[in-house]
Amino acid sequence: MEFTKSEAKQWAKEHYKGLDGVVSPSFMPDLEQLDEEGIRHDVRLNISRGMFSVLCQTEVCAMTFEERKRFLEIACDEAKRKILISMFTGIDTIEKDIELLKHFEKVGGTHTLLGWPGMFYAKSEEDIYHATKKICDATNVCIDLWPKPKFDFGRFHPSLFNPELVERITDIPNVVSIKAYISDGLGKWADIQHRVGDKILLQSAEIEEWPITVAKYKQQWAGPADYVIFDQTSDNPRIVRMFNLFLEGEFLKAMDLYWELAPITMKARSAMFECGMLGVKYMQWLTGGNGGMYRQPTGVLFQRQKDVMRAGLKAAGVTPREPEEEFYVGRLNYARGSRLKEY
Amino acid sequence: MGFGKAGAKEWARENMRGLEAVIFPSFTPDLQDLDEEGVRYDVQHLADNGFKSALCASEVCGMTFEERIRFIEIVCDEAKGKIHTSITALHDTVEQDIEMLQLYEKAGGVVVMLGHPLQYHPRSEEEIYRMYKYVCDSTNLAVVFYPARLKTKSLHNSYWPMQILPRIADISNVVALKIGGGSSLTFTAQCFHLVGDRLLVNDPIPEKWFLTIPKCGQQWSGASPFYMFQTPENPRMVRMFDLLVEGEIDKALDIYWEMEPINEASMGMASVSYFDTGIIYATMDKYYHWCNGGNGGMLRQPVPRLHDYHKQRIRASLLAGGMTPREAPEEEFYLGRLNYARGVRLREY
Repeated sequence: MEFTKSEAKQWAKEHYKGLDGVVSPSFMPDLEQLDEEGIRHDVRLNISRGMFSVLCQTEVCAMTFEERKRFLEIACDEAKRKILISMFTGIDTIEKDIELLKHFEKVGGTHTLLGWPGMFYAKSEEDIYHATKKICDATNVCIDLWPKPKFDFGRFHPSLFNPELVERITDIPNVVSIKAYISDGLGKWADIQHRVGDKILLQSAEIEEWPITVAKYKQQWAGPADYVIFDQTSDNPRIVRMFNLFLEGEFLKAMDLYWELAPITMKARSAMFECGMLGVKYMQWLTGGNGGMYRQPTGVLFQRQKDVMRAGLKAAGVTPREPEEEFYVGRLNYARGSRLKEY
Repeated sequence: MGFGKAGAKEWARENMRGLEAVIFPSFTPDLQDLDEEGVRYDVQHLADNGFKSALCASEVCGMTFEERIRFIEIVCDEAKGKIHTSITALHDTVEQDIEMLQLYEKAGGVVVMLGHPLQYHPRSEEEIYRMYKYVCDSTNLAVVFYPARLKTKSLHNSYWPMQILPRIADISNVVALKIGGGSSLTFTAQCFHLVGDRLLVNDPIPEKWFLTIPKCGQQWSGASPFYMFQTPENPRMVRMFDLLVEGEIDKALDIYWEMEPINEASMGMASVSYFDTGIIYATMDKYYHWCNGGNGGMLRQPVPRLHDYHKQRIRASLLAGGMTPREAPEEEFYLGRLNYARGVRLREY
């Protein structure tokens, strides 16, 4: 790493600027192997659309531990010296999370979005703190804390994640930022902002919150999220421009872009999330990503949701990709002549 | 197998009766391996509950293909002489589904609930029919046709092109049709109308049985986590189904209303709708089962998370529905009942 743990917060302040995208695994059409070229394509797409970093979505579908490691290797290799790279932590167990993080650090990872694994059942807030510290101490990468309600710590505090505990965790040297949404509770967000807003990089990934969090609170980065879906081509990255305009105080200019992109932000993305993370993969394919089906278990793509996604993109000036079959086999495989089998 | 393809429909009519319950995998506490004893415990528990069949749902969480097969083998072995088995064939590709059917047949399997894999995007009704026939022809298993997760609304507004149902019913080893939970009543009515004379059409949603059993002759129900409503000591969902088959509607209604708080909670609680997303909320079903005597045990990612407020609602609904949910440390659910009994505990940090 180019920084020590004690320098991590300062390093992040200097390097986390702009938007953090996402890349999820792609598979070959028979879903037996990772599609290395497809993964590399998606990393390059994030680079070309102006992301300063990209997060590897390690948890979105069934993969063996070795495949998860390989997925990280491919993404890190493609991102090397071009953008920062992150991964999601919080899959099955603390031990495997740490093992994966160590591998990630070895192959060039720079930061991680930290959640808690399925087999972690905290009996007290002290348990949460100790498990979190164990993970943070085991790695040198920067930690982006994700105090999301889904991690089920609501039994300890009505906010569903005690802001006081958040504050305590931010004392850990390599905890550099927090991903927190106003939509998770304005009170919770305000409490966290009050406690640690000056100490670490508090940020909301939700575009609808930027007119407040970026424009008024000077949030300097956002993500990870599916930001590549807002632009058809790389020469006009409207979402990056909008973020920067909010940050620079050009509020009304930013709002012009905000309303231009609203059919995607408000309509198409709602339909996308109804399809789970597969919806995100589909939407990214519609706007230039590799696409490709996930393995089981995953969501279902409904025609009506696909129609809403396409309509939202068109309304925001983006032409959605055709033909549908390409999504299933992946863009690069399709270009090589792969087609769905017929029976 | 006990029947040839030509005799499959008749075999089914004689043998497929009563309720089928779903069984999910259990894992060792580090989630690295299958928990064979936990799986066997759940098979026995399903048999003790009076269910006629156990459906292995191996697609619900992250597992390798080999682990899915091993899970099915364990269930088949434990079920011998106690309870019928079935498997879901809703995996990644057509080829993987076929391989699974062949391995399941070798393990002693007889019935498969065959849907459509993920890597499949039909462009016409004809293509749907051809693929389905191709898979049915590759196996000697009795096939329960399951249309629920394909969602071809572009071909028919119901979500499934109804015109090809009769052709699918004509495939010799297709013996039954399981309607997807969450389908409309109209869809159910049309399935019975179109193919009810040839296939064992069944809707797994208990409230619909008050119409489908007396009026349409439904004689079995494909899998659902029915153990959330009952225990071996009081197998009331099984009893309600049997009462309906016997025409004792008033007595069946008494049981239905007794169980309604559980039904209401479970239907209203899922943060993701199975019908809309195809994702089974298996952690919730497993927690219900653990509360009522099942092994429990956390599943691997990706799987929906289970929150405290979900658990509290589950417990409250069980109490309101006249049951006593298991009183044991929550930790037991995460580890699985048998592991906990052996002294295994969650790690502390």
